[in-house]
Amino acid sequence: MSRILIVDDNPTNLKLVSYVVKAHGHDVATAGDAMAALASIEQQRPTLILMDLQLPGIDGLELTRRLKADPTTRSIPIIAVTAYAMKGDLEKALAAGCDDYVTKPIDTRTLPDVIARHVARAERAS
Amino acid sequence: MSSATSKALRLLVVEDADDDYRILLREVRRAGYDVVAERVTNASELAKALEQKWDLLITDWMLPGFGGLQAIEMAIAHTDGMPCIVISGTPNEDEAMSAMRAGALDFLSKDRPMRFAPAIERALREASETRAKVAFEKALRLSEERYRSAFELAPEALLTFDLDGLEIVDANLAAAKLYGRSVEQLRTGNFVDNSAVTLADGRDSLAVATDILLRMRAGQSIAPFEWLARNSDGEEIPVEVHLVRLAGDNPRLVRLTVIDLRERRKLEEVRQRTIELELQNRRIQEANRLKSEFLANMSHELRTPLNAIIGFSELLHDGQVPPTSPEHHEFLGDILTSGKHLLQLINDVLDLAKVEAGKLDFRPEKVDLSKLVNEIVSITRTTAAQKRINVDQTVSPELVDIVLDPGRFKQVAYNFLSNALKFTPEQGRVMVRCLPDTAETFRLEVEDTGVGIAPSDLGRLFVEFQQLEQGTAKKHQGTGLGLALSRRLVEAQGGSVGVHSTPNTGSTFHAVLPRQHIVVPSLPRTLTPKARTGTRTILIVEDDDRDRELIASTLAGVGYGFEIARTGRDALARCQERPFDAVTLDLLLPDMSGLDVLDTLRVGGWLRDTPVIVVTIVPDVKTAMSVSEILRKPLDGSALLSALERAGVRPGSAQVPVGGGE
Repeated sequence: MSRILIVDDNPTNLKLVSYVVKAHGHDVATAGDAMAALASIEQQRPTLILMDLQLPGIDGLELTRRLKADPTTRSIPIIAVTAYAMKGDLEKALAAGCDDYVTKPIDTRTLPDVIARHVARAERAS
Repeated sequence: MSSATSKALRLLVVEDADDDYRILLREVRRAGYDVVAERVTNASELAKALEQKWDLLITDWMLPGFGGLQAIEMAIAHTDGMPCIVISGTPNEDEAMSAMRAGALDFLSKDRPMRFAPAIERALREASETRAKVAFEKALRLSEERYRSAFELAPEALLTFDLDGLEIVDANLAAAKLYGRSVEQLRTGNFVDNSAVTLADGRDSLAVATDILLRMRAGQSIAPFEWLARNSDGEEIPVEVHLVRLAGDNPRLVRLTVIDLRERRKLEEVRQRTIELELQNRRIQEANRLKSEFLANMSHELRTPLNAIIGFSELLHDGQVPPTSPEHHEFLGDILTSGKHLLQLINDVLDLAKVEAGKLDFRPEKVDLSKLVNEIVSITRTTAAQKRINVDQTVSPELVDIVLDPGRFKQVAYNFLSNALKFTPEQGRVMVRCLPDTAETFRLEVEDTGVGIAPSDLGRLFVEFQQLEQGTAKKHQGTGLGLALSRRLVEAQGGSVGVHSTPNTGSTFHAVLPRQHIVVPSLPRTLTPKARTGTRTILIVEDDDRDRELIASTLAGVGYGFEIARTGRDALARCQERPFDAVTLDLLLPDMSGLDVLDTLRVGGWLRDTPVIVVTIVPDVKTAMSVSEILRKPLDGSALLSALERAGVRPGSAQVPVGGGE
């Protein structure tokens, strides 16, 4: 069973995304900031990470860069989930190493498909 | 009659008799002359001899086919006043008269050779005196001509004024051009007739001119001064007048140099305007940047609650959440909360837009401050409880009969309080106080035990769209509007806001508000912070263009007003015109040292307590004078802002005492 780590500092968003992901049969881990996310990854490697970019302290872009620089976590797909939807934000996310990019407000009907596609690819690769 | 030293003498003699010539030469040598002589006997020989230079001509009166009179006439005609003496064998009165008339200096008898030498000596002396006199007169004439043409053709307008007759006695062409009158018209006119009645500074020109006249008469020298000339069309022309007493036998004559300042003024205006435009351009660019940033932030802030609203609605609408499940009810609550948050955001933006447009409404009524404060504290109770922050509230019982718009007051208090809760760590403390200020005002204070604010950031707190933490790592959510909006709301009621903060200890935000609501005419404002009444104005004394622009844009960026002085003299003039809240002072100015400027201003009382921040490339400045701080170039803009904060000079908080006692 795939395990999805949701990183978001907003509790309401965390609740929403968790519900959607769980409803589609994934295990869910949550983290409110970068340190909690790293601890969670250390404890149990997730299949995929849904990453909010605005986080207190180390932000989502920086956290993504670190994970993609680390050989042990490099292969985990990271989908940016962000309310930054201005021109250039997508490029910034991809440049940091995100594998995909979803803007808030999220589409609860299509998000599971995006997750499923990346999970399938990750499972094929491993 | 011999002289101790021999004197050179070039002597031309017209004489046909050998003996007479010999006797003459003997007498001349005996008198001590080292003589070089030539003898001629007729007109053609004389004409040839006159091509050379001679000191003296001595001629016989009667020669065969030639005569003394003729010789004298030739000599005088061919030379530059060559002295001539006649020696006659048969002297008589008539001959002597005609010889003297022709230009001879003496008429001697051959019978009296002992008289030759004294006569020669006298003739040479007379000739030398005549030459000197002619040369002097020529020099004088030349000098006068030079002076006249220098005066007439000088590029500056020159007037000669008689202190006794009170008349212009002379004027040059440039003066005629400046005044639009002929030189003749200017002469015999009065200086005051050609001046504006009232000077640019409002003084009466006649009174000022009279004062200057009296001082000149008393022998004082007058420093150059600015004046308003009036030409024949009645046009008033700004001029600079230099007064110099003319040397010479008439001590009552004064030379006025009148310099037309219009060109200079125009150049200064153009230069000033260019700088203003450059700064304006920078401000516009900065405002543009801030607006784009603001839009990005707004987009982010609006999407966050919309994410919950749309996401949860979709789940509920699609039937993914069973209506009987606890989540169903919970998600509806989340939609509601997010909707309310969204509404708050929109209200803030609309309020700000209203303030910008000067269309903010106030509905003042008699209020109970304790009740209002209590309502605010209740609204934030949940947040406070989550972070286990203790919120205290006190309202001074003195504060009765307060009339204000309760909604606007709560808005400000709420912004201060929610800000305090945001920045106070768990188990901290927040105090909300209402205290008397003056008889007409009271003070709302919100004190926290939060993270505090760096001095360099204090100036940006109340400025629109400025969030202290930039980028995606904003720890504390917000639109960056709350405090800016609060400031606008308070100022629109005639009040002021301020903050006192110690990093890692806490901050106190305050608003001073009138006890009775007064209507302040609110003017449309641009989105950028700009000079307002109550803005702190800094004098920038700096001759280096780049440094000056850096300082100016740093100050303008956080809402300070400023004025610029490029030279020490300019700085002195500006300080004498108006007070400043602070001064940045370069030490190496083109005309005088910055410390001399400071000294003059401090001693003169123009800058008694004004903070002065020295900005210099000079290392190890030692000054006994009171200087707030010394900053080294290259200048760091935030260091300058920090220095101003430490000196208690903050933008846009002119009426608020900031610092201790809060």
